[in-house]
Amino acid sequence: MDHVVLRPADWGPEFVPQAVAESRPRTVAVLDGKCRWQREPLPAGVWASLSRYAELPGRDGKGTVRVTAVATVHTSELGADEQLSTTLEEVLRCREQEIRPGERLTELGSTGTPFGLRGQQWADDNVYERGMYVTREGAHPYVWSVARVGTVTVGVSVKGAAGHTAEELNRWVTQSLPQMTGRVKTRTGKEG
Amino acid sequence: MDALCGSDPARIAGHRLLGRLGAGGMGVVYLARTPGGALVALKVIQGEYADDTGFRDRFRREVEVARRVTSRWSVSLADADPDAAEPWLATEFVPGPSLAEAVALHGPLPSHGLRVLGARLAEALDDLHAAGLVHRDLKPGNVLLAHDGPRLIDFGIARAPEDTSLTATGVVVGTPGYLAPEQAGGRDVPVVGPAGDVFSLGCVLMYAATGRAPFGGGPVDALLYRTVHDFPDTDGVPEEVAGVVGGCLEKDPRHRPTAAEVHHALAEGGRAAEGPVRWLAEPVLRLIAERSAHALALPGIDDTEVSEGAVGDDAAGSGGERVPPGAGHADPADADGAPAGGPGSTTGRRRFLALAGGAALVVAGGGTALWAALDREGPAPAGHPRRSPCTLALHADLSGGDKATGLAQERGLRLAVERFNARRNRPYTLAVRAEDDGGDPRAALRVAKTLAADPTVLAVVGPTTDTTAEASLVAYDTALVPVVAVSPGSIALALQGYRSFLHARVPDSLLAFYLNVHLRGSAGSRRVGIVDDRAADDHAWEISSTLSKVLHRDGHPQVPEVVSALRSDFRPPVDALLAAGADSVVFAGYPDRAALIAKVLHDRRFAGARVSAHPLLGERFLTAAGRAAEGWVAVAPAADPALLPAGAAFTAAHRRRFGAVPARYSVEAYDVTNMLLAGLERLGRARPTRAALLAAVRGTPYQGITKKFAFRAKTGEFVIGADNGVFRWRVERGAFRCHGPAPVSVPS
Repeated sequence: MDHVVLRPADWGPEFVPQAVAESRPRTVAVLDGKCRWQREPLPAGVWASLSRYAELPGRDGKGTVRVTAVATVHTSELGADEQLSTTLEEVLRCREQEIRPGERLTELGSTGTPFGLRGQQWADDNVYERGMYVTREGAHPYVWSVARVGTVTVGVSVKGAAGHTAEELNRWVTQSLPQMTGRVKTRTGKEG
Repeated sequence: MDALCGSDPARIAGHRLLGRLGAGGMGVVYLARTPGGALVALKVIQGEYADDTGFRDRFRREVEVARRVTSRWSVSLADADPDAAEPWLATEFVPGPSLAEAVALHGPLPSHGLRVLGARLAEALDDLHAAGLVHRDLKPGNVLLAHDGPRLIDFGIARAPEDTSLTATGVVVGTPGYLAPEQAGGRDVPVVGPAGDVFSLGCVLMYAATGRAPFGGGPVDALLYRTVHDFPDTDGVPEEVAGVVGGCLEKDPRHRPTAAEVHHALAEGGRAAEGPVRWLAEPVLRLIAERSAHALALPGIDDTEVSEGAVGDDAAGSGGERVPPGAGHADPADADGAPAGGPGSTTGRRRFLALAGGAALVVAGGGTALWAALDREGPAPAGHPRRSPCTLALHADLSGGDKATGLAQERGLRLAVERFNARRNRPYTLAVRAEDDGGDPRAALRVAKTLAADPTVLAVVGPTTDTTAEASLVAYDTALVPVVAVSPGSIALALQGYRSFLHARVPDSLLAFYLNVHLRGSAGSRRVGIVDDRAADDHAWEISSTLSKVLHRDGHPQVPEVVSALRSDFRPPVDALLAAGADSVVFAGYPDRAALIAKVLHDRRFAGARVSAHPLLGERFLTAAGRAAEGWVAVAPAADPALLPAGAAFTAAHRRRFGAVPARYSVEAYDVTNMLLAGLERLGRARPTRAALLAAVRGTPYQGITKKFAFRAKTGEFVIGADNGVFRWRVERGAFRCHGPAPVSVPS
């Protein structure tokens, strides 16, 4: 787990840890009935989960980009797959979500792409979610992508900021997520 | 490959000729063996053209360019003699398919393969640019696939950027759809530089990633306009290459990366795209292996020469019409939309263009643009056109999981054609050709290619399902065969820009609106349970996400439940739905798993509305669900003719002809066949072309028994009207019974 989840430097040389750099041990993020994200104790069916938080500090008129990398080990492949189903379900359930007071996600939309379909060949399953990240500082693009390799799910989120294009965000996501699936594959012997 | 003709020499400059790869007005391309034993593609220009100094100069320039191309990812020049009486040029022979062919046959490249393709083509371009040259016609048909990487071919119009000898004529040089905006803009573009090749590379990678031409198809001027003004639809391009591809497609050439930068970005500092890699999917590798094996089996240097007697029936000079095994797959990237004299000649020309790409040909001087000009001005390929019958074809699943739907459509089509043929004043007699794909996407593509290659086929009714349609519409598009589908529902089919496709039903996303009305109207649901089954992938998501959006919009409570494709026990999701207070259940998915959830709901004695879309409507659900099927409702674009004013006559005719009442989708197929027949009638007694029929059908709405058929001229989308042929079917006493048209608004 420790080796799979990206550290700040893995995102790029200028990324630094956020004030809170890691998730509380033995907790996961859960979207509650009122569409608010909460940390809750590991549910049954999950062995372990770790999130790391990093940011690219704003400068030269650009805002601070915040990124998250997470990996979760499930006790079964079905359990891991259902985390991706849940991700899709969350957008049907809550088209707007609250990360914490003052931070909202809006205009959410998502697509699922199982292995072998539409050219997806790098993970057993992938869900890609995009929307807007809204704070007092304005609304900026937001991307969240989760992938499954066997019983492990990995995910990255990127919250945009002033002066950063959606393409840049996508580039961070597309560079970092396969990096994590690659690490999972090497460590679980899924590839080689 | 074709056999040699009687007029072909046995050898040219020491090269043993083995067969014809293709022929055009100006020369012939042979597969040949060098004195050293290597296989080459050898192009020979006819003496009469060689006498034209301008022509010979262009050929000389092409040879020069080819000599300067040294990249390992470009086809290399083996030898040439531009000063011979009949000038010739021999290039390395690559037996693999073109990128266009591989994608059309086997779908987009995996993302790793994309990186390899992009990195290596960029490397080839970089080498070319470093030599002071610009390719100017990079497109999927000009990229051959070998086991170790791609090979860039066709330097027929490559030259130094400042050389304007071709552009000065005002002709657009290159292939529309893969041209940079500065190339497509025409008029005052004296210099098309390396950045133009980079734009084309972006287009090629988009095509390899998605199977779609980035700016769609259609008339050349519209295509060029879109290239200059529109942003390409990059949906489906894997995220890890999307940034690079987007950069290549920048409208302003100054903002595009150089070929070297593209190479660097995709090769990841050399890791991804170096060394021996497995970069192609298994079926493409197999194709390469088969063709290589075929090439190995050709006669060696000293084997007995091909005798006169071995010459095929090709001596009349129709070489361009014949296609080597496996090389006849039309190239979607080459489709120029220009209707030719008739289906036969169109096919011949397209085949030739495909062949030219697939066999490493270069056409002296003008490349694609020159061929396009010949297409407009020149005569049809030689030969003796016979008056062939006119055929309407059915493409359907006649033996697989959806054979009931396919067989019903066959009957509807046959009935309509037989009634047409029975008329004394008919303009001609029509034949019917029915082809079965068994529900298999690969077979569907083969079927489409077969039908498209049959010059007598004027139009096709089918295919039966989303997956078979997705796999095969490209082949109909390539040959511009009008193809009318009555049962597939994916909205993506109409949105992909297939030029000759007519989606003759409302798309699935619209069914979500009917489901909404049904649930909140007659079913009175206060909290709608939506079950999205991921086993049905996009089909389920199109319906469930649209329905969810509509309910959110209206502020109506919903309980969504997305079910993993790995899950076979539906008790937990059902219990979650019921615990959350859902009083109705919409199942977005296919019938076998609908039966699983139906059984659980039955066990739980769930009494609320249970509803699904058209896949539910069939024996599979009834058989698998048994008693649990009772009360389920299917909202489907399928009518019961017994409930329609004009349906009685159809039912009676069907009963007389087939001894049975019509099965579902028979009357829809009957309707669209009659729509095609009405289009043919408007074209008069002369033998119609596919293009004319397509225009006739798209341009004029047709009132059928089930609904009015009208299509958007641009996309072939079904025009939504007051009466869209969507019906409610309810399971009662073990059978689906039609309850009439599905209402479009909630009664107040």
